Amino acid sequence: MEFKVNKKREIKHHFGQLPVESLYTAGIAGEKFLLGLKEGKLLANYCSDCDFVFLPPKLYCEFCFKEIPDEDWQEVENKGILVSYTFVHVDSNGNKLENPIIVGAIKIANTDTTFIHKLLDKVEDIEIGMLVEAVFAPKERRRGSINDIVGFRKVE
Amino acid sequence: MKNFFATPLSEEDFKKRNFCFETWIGNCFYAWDCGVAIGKYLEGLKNGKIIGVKCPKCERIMVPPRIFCEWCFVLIEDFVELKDTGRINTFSISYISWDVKKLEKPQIPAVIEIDGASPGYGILHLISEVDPKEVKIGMRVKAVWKEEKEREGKITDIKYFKPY
Amino acid sequence: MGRRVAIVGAGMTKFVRRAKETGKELAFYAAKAALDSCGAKLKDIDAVVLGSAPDTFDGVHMKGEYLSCGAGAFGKPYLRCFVGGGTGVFAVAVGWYYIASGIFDTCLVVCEEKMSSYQPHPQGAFLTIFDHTTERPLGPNLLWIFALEMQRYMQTYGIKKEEIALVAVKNKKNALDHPAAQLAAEITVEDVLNSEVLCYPVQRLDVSPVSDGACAIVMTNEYLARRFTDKPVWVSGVGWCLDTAYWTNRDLAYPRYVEEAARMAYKMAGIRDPRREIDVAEPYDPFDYKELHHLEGLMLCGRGEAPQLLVDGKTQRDGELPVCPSGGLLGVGNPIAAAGLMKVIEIFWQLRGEAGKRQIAKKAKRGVAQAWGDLMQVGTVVVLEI
Repeated sequence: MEFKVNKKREIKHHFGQLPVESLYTAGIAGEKFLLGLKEGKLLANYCSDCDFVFLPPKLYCEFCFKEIPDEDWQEVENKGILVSYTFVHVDSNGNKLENPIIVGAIKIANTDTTFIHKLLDKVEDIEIGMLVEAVFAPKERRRGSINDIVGFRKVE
Repeated sequence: MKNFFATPLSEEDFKKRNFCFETWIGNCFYAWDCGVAIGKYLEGLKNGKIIGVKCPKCERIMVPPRIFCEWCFVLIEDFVELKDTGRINTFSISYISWDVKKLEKPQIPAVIEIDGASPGYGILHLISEVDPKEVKIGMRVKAVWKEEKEREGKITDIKYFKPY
Repeated sequence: MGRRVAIVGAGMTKFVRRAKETGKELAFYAAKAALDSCGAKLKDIDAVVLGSAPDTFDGVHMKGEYLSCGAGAFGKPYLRCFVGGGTGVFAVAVGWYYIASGIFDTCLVVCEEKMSSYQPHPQGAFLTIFDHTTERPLGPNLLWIFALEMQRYMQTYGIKKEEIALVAVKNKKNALDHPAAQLAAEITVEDVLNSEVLCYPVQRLDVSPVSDGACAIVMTNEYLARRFTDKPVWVSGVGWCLDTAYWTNRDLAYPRYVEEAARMAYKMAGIRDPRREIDVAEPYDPFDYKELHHLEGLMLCGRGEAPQLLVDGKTQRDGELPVCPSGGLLGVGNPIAAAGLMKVIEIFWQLRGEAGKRQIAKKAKRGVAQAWGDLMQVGTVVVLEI
């Protein structure tokens, strides 16, 4: 089938914008976790049926669908092993960053999930398997957000 | 798990942000390709004309134009010039904006059946230069165009329709 | 047509304007309540269907995947569907064909919506419903399309606003007996007529609220149904239909797409005379005039005749054709995808005699739930019987 298209059309595009502004609640479990961060604590919770520790903690176990009771929440250590990392050189619009951001995946002790956050050490000091610990923001600057932890630093 | 459970937050809770939250603003900029049919429609608007199409099979004359008839599923290549007058099929009087704020001056959106197209075929546009209370279904209206040099090839090249 | 399909359990959250819970948590509450209602465990479920509105509402990418764990879909075949407001009933049709085909034995259908995330007002998320080139530059808002349709419907059949307002009065009153209701109230026709005019002829009390909420049902086949409940409700007919997106090219006075969907569902259910064979109806009512518009589309009365049914009291809970005994979207709430499923669940409870204070007077054996969506395009219909 032959399409007769006027390739010399004057008007080709129409420009526009979609306004999208979102406000996310942390949720029941999320709020408890973030208020823990505000206190300088890392809280996780445990599904006794699946023998699995969630960090960040969840309202329900996604494997067996049990609602995790308050008694199965526990504070965990701020330390863990670095299991993966990446150096980010461009921002989300593709512009080059002056200094790369380092993002790490950390296995906090006694949990079964990986925790994602920024790494504060220099690029050349990062290595998989190293012990890292959380660095919290000063108390007055914490508001109940994932950024109440500034990042993770190598434990010497 | 019991039924009918959720934890409501009041409007005041929301204003005072009595809960843990994060916000995000999305940058959604688009360059939408008009396509063959609407590209031609917009060219027509720039030239002060309303363009429609005619299906070779069912012979409906349709506006806004499209390059395939959705009933017969055949290619349409016949673009026809329609009049810039029409009849109001339905209308409303809007007192609020898209984000539910009160408008200074109410808007009158309407579906206007364009003369020259098959009956019932119309476009969405605004009505003005009339007291909202006087607007009726079936009223005859005419397009009020922007000055030729101000037209850009957009639906807003027609400022609004007015009774005539 | 394939295996017989039954709904054996149902659950839902409260519908609220803004929930503290995340979308995942809301989906969990509904899914877990549905499983608990019939003693089912997650391992009994073979597949999950989720209905939820576009990602823009929540500002979350791939919302289906995001919600999957809350919908109990970990490690299971999973499908997310969306057809605007029609989703709540369409998801039941999807669950139906999963089971009728024999590919799955038991499935969980979950519909969830958290509209409150969108700032400043969730209505803004609907701007994309208008064509970006030919309509959005005019500065439209969502209410335009309902107002234009309401105007056309009223004019074509000579229906007065007072008659339409009776729907809002009836439904908000019915909702006083629904434990999940968000906007139940005792109001009068004068209250509706005196409420703020938003987009003439639509006034504030004609409109259902923005809501957060979730619903879920458990569906299974005829062989397993009695393992979960001794009162399975059979899905005897499903139908869905889509009309053209060129909404300015069709007559808004009559929802022909609802009629097409209803014909498909009634044919499957063996219904020849819907007015006599349907005992209770839950048509979609995001606006009061829509209940009337849809009753006509469902062929439960002639065109333009729905207001008379209402005025004669026939659609009250003790009438000959109770309509929206739940309180509908006007009274209970309108979380886009979950609202339709709320209606299906109401028919489920009514047929089993479990609707508590909302129970209709007559003994109901067959009910119809209908939802509607998008640019006045989609009709989805489900016929249930016990």
